[in-house]
Amino acid sequence: MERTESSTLIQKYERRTLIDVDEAHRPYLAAAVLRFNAANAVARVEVSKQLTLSDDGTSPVDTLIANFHHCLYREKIYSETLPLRRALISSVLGR
Amino acid sequence: MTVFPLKFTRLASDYLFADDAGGYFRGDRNFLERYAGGNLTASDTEFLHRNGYAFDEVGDPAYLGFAYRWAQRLHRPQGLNYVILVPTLRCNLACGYCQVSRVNQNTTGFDWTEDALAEVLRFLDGMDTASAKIEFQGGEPLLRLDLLQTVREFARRKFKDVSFTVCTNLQSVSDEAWTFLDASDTFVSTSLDGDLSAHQRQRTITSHGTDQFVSNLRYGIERLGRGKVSALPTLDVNNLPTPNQIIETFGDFGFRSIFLRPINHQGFARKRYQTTGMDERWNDYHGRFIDALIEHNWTADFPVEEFYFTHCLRRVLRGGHNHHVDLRNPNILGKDYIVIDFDGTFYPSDEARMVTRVGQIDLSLGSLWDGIDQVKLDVLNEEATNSFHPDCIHCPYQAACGIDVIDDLSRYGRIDVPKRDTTFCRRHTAIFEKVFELLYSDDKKAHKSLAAWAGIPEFDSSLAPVHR
Amino acid sequence: MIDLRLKIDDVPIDHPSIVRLRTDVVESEHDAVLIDRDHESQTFDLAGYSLRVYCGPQTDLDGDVLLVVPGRNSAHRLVRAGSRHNTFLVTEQCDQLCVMCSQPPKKYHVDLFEQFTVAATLAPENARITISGGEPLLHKRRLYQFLVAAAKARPDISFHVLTNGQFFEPGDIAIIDEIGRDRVLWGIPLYAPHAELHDSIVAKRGAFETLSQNFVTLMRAGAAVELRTVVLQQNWDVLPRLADYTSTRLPFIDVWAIMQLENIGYGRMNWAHSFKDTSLDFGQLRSAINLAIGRGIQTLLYNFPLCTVPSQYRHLAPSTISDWKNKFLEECGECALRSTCGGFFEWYKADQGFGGLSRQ
Repeated sequence: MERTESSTLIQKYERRTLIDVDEAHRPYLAAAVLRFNAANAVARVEVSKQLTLSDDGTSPVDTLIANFHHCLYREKIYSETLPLRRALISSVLGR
Repeated sequence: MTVFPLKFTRLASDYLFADDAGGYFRGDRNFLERYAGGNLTASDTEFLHRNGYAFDEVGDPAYLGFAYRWAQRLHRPQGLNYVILVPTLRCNLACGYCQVSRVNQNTTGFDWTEDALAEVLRFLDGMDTASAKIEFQGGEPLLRLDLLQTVREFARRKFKDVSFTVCTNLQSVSDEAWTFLDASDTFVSTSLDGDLSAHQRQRTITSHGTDQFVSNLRYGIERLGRGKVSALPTLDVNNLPTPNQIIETFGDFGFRSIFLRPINHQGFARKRYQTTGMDERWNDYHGRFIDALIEHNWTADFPVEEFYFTHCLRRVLRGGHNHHVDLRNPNILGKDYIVIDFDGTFYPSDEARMVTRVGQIDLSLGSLWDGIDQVKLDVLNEEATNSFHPDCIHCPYQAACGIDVIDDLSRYGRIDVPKRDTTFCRRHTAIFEKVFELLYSDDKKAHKSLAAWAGIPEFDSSLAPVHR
Repeated sequence: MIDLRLKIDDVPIDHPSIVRLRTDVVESEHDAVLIDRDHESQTFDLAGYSLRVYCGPQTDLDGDVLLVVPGRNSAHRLVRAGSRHNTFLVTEQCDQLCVMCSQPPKKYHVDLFEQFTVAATLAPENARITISGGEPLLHKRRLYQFLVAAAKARPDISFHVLTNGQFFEPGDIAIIDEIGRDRVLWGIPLYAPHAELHDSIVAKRGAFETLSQNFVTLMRAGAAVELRTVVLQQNWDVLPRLADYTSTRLPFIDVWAIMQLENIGYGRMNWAHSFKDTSLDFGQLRSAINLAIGRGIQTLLYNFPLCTVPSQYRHLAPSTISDWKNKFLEECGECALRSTCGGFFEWYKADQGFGGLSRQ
């Protein structure tokens, strides 16, 4: 990508929001980021000790943060309950 | 204690939680955080266990009750028992939105040949069911009353229990056709596009044509009985009658069930109509229509329903409610119902037939002579479920919702578009949001309609559980 | 009230026997054909000996199946050919002492399953036979033998077995399959959504727990179950919770029958503190019914006179009281609902009963 294009992007998505992600949710971060990106107009997500979301500032910040947490919760719930769902299917299908 | 996976979404100032078996409740943000963080309180666990969202041991009554309800949410198709037959593509009307690539009444080569009729009868004879439903579509089926008579006579001998529906525009009905329709096993389905001015604009064009239709419809209802005649409105999103105009028009004929359908722009229709921004406009209109019905039903002698909303409401409340072919999960195609075209080609649905005629994609499944194309059918059915879809699995409406591979293919040419970008998902999300908005409202008027639509004597707050 | 017993003259038999009375045609070795009639009796010929039955000349006995017991001068009308209500009382023993029991248990048991098997094969076409007690599954092996034999001999008949559900086992699934899952409707009571209350109503500790396990078995078996709940003062307040429990733990049932109390047996003894006057207060029933039906459980009201039920619920109250034990009250008169109403039990006492009756 050209440097001029990347700086244009940075200019457009100026708002930066820092999000704390506690240890319990870390394992699900990658999957959550993927889903979040697909559903939200976010330019970049930087993951280090905290998470940085850069976006164009149109939606209210607390909604943005809540939405991100919801993605995390969903990935965690999905991952933790997958064995239960598999067991349920097996028991219903009589395996 | 183990909680079954909960999906969630915002509901007013709180959240709606739902499980894979269709159980649901309203809870607040604090509960969401406790649940996601694994910090449930004693009050949480008591509520969840008592109301069937959790279990103690695998195989205990709560676990198995849930397993049963989950299984009940799945559609297990029976053998073939519902056949849509298109004996002719010819039609005596030229409706603006008609997607069936209709042909003019006097065109030749668009009816079943003698051979095709024989094959259709042979096909029916090969069906292994005691009870069947046969629907005649077209074109205009009454243009080939003789074919309808032959099929009906055969089917009555073949099946122990069979019903027939004739989808007719009721423009021109001969005495012989009325006699045909008199039979107690034969039903009429026609189009009544909202109110009479829209109907004329879209279908009959002249006031003479409209008068002819209205006269036949009135006569039909009187002669055949109201239980044997139904009418469906097809509406132009860019030119919608008001909800009350529709309710009044339908009420005038004594109809109490209105199935609102937007013009689905395929083929000919796509050439004439605007399609951008339609989802939102339609969904907004549909919501306002429900509100109008609630107001109407508060004082009316008989409650009126919007058929599809009632269907979705019932699917929210209970499992096993699978009798509408477009909303089922899994939605296995080509198993319990099929369409046979004027040229003997098989299609998995009427929409598939239209999409193919437009030339967009070939969804035919073989023919009377070649048999069913099972290989193609298997490909179509690979993704015929929403249960494990990465978007649907997180959706609280998933258990009540369905899937429509044909609709996705016809609109987007592919089935892997993110669900929320599809019309199917947007439409159903809007309907389910409305269902839950009403279930959780305190409005007495809403409750009265909900009870009528749900088929229960009175609304009860236990149908809208809340956890505090 | 219809008498289910008929006075007869002694017959020379040495064991309990099944006889089917016929007016003219003899089709089976068990058929006795009418040979004489007078103002007070009808006489039938059974393989040489006479069976004189005392009854009015209008009484139509054609097709009725009688159980004749040696030394007794009355015969049981096991099957009345013209009636929808035919019950085989297969035992009077029971392991529970339900507070509303209409057939209080006895200690002894007489095995008549052979005779019942014969009687079932002689029943009219498409007959629906109720199997009752006491607790029929106390004699499970014999009962299953009977059901298998009768179901095989008569593919057209079906059974309604009233049982407390305490004696099912996972191994029964194969037998239920052999009889035919759709041939038997198991009528099983559940009075509360938790052990303490249910157990106290049936007077058996552990009953709820055992029943819960057995519902699992029946669900796995794909058995047809009619869940039965008698409305009592004792369980009135938990009826909505019971509806919730039923819809989440027992979604497989065919129908939930909510029943009014019968003033006979222990029901009569315990009437004052058990009978719930639903004609004056229908509240908890409203919630229970709307929740259950809303969630897809077919729910019906048994043994409720129609005027005691609010009008929007009347379509849920079919006429269910057996013809041989029902009556109407004088005040029913020309009530507009009389033809569809089930009326009252023969032993209904107006001074202890519904306070809210009214002719419609």
